[in-house]
Amino acid sequence: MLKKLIRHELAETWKIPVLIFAVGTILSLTCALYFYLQPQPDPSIEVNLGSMTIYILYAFGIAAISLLIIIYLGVRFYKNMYTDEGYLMHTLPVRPWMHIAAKTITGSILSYLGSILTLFTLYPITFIALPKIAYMDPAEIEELLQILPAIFGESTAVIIFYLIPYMLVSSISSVLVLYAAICLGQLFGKHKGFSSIVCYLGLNALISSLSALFMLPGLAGVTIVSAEQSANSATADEFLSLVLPSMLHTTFFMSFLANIVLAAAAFFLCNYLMKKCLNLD
Amino acid sequence: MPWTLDSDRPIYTQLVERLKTEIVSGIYPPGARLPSVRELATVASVNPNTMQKAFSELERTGLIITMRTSGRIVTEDTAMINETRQELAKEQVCQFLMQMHKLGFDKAEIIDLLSNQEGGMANE
Amino acid sequence: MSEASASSLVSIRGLSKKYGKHQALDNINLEIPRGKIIGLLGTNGSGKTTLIKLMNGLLVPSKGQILIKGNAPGVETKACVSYLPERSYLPDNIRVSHLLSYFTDFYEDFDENKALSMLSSLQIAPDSFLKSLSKGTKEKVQLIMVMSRRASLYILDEPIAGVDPAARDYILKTIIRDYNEEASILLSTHLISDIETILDDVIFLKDGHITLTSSVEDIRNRYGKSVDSYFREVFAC
Repeated sequence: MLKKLIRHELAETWKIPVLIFAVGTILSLTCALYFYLQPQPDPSIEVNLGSMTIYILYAFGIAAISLLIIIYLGVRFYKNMYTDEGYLMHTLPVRPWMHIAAKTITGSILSYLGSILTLFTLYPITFIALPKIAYMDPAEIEELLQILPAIFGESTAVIIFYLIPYMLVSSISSVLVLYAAICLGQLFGKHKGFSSIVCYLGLNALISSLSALFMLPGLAGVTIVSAEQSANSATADEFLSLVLPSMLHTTFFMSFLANIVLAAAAFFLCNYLMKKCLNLD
Repeated sequence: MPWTLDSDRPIYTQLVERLKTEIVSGIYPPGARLPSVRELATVASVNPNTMQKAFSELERTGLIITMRTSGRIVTEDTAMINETRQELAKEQVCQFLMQMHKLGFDKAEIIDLLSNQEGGMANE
Repeated sequence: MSEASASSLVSIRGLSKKYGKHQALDNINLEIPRGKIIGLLGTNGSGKTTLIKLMNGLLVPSKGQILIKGNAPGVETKACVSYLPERSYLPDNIRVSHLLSYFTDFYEDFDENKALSMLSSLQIAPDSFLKSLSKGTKEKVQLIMVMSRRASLYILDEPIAGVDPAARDYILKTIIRDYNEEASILLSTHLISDIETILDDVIFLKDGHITLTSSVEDIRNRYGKSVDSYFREVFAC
């Protein structure tokens, strides 16, 4: 049953996201070509405003892809489960958790593809674009390319290797939180759609606040240590190369685990609401 | 076309009447096979259970016989069919007389009217 | 458990549903046997649709229970109940053939050949997009899907409202033709005169209460009028 649900879901929802991805890819390729062909700016010019504007617009465009995918998935879930189509879906002899699972799997795949697209376009293009926006001598360019590895204490390849499962888990949890928000929105009789949006923003705000709270002890420690050491620049460099990477490692793994817990909690919430509180109009 | 049925009388009685009429008037001659309950119910646009009841009533009176393999057939007993014909006719006459009575006709006037009417019918 | 309820297809006890302050259904008790075509009659707002949604597991009761073949509404009942909602639940951007695949995939009792032959007799091409069909045709498609299942209970909510007379005839004929003694059909409607002749029994629903359960013949015998006329009398404002 679950396989069939997934099959139907993919067949009905692949078109628009793929279109969005295609547009994003074309946009990226165009941008990459533009910046590649741009000559290095003159050292006397501080910043090439034209190129910078283009870069910023491009970055917004790529960010928009993720946003559009989330909006699409949200609208799809709402329309398919809670409007007239819900009459077809909820009378299928299928348990609610399967509906949620099928939509989570397809939604996560689409959201994940969006994230991968962003990773493999925005970041390379940033590195190509920055030297064309403001003059950088070869030493600075070298430093630029090494900035991420320096912070994380790993090579770029390893960073990407860790990011791949991380982004997957992140996609799954963000999609499930979206669905949970929509299910919660159904509890408010009159303005279900609007309530869903409010719940979604509320849930995300809650998650951000909780994350910040958890990070607080670590950040406080870092601030104190760096304040003590800031006088001595040699120790500051040491700090950057030793403490920061390990702190970021910890943050990374904690965040990874937190996403898994969040995904599970959102799933159970969705299932409970769909099973016990269903109230189709 | 769905059968036209009065809305204020039980459907079952009307179905029995109609089937009897169709048998008596030769639409279903002696020995002919009747359509299945479902077929007839679909044509008449009535509930199959009600049609079944009507069939059962006709079976009870012997007008219809259920054959084990070939469904339901009209009886070959022409005497019974004739009897039924007489019964139906009598009912019609009774109703007619009742109506005419309401209009204030006595027997002689009715017979008069009938003779003239009959003449009219012969010319058609 | 009495004899009657042991063999009942549907058994409803003490069912109530409240939306905030509004009592949509109040203490409904009902047994539906097999092999009957039953009309659920009531004005708008009488609770018909609420009762139907509860039977289909699209709503959760406030009180009481519904048992269909011994099960509360859930996966087991959905597999043997075929529901035609009042509204169109068809996603617009798919083809008729896609809809067929939905039913074939998820309902074991779906007879695809029967559906295809009914579609072709109405000259509806399976590869047409649902959104290209007229309202009446979409309703017929929904009906064909529902009636092509070999279900134990068919629940049809206003199957003939807003449909032209020819389509109406087709729908009624389909219902009669597909009747079988093992299954029952629950028809909810306010167009009583059109369907009266195909019903075995009727249930009158008023303000969330059942005010009458009787056979059509009983009403005609007892009151000397059609169910439609009697209904108008009973529900006159």
